[in-house]
Amino acid sequence: MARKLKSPTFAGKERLARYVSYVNRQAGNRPAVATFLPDPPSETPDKDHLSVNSLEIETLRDVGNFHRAIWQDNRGEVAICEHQVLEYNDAAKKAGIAVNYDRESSKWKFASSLTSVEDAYRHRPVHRDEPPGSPSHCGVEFVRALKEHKAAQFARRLTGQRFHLLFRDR
Amino acid sequence: MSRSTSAAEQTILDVSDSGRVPGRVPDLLRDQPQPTTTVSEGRQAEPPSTTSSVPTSIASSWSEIAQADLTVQLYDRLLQIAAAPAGWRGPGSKPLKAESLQSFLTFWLEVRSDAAEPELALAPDGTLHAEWYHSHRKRLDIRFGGSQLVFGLFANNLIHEGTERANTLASLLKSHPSKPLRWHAN
Repeated sequence: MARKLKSPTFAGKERLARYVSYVNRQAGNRPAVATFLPDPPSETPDKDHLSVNSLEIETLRDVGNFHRAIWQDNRGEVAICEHQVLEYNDAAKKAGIAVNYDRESSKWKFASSLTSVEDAYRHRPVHRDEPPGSPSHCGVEFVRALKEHKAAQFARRLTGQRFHLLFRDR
Repeated sequence: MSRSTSAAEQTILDVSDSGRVPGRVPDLLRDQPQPTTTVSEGRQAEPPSTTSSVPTSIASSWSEIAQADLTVQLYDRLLQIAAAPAGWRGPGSKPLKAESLQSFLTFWLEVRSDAAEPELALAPDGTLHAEWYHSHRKRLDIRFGGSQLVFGLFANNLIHEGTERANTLASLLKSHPSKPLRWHAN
């Protein structure tokens, strides 16, 4: 059952789920490095992010249902990777992005440029009925600061854990 | 031979006639869905399209694929990746770029005598990724973008990451003491 929270805290041990597309599923339930690469810059690069779902807001199964409907036409098994916020922070650090906790705002922050600091994680809920929305949708915002092979360095650090396969019995 | 052949089949026959090993692609070609002739009201049946069953990125590298002697499994994976449409992961994600596939095939032809087949994946920018996996601490991934390949090698407790030209990277990996190109997940 989904937990009733308005917005995620992104506390270090809280968990973020990332959907793994068919073309990024490897043998032994391993996610490909490409799973965690950010999309190419959009027309609004200051809003680009890596999509994840906060498991503070929805259960893994709820998240799986959402992605199954959006990407798989409600068919087949759904692959989801699960990481702690601290693991994302650590991957960022190893790719040269410093993510620090700001006690005043109680948020993780990163330097997007020499003069500006932004939230490292943001709640970006999707509110709609059809196709289904996602109240747990969030953005890993610091991927905007990852250039060239730094993005690959970040992505590699998140591929160590195998993904969950949901709806295997359907 | 009296029957007409598609452009793809002709390519295969050319490769075969030239004395090079055609690989398993001719078998795979038979496995592909064949173009169907359709009749609609008031129109004549259209001739079969020679490329409608194969994604453009695959068709444009057909000769190289024939030479690459890929297994059925790897070719199937390649087809799955090449079939991913624009937006496969969201608005900004791109389909497989033909030049990325060509870059991979060129690299593969250079190393395949010393390598296990990699696992393939698609990146959101349309580039092909190849991965060789032994364990979490022993793995190699290469992204085939432009002239510079982006790679990451985890070998025991050492990590090498960066960009390198294809032929230089091929030489480095073939001579690496851990033989990372021979790592295979199974």
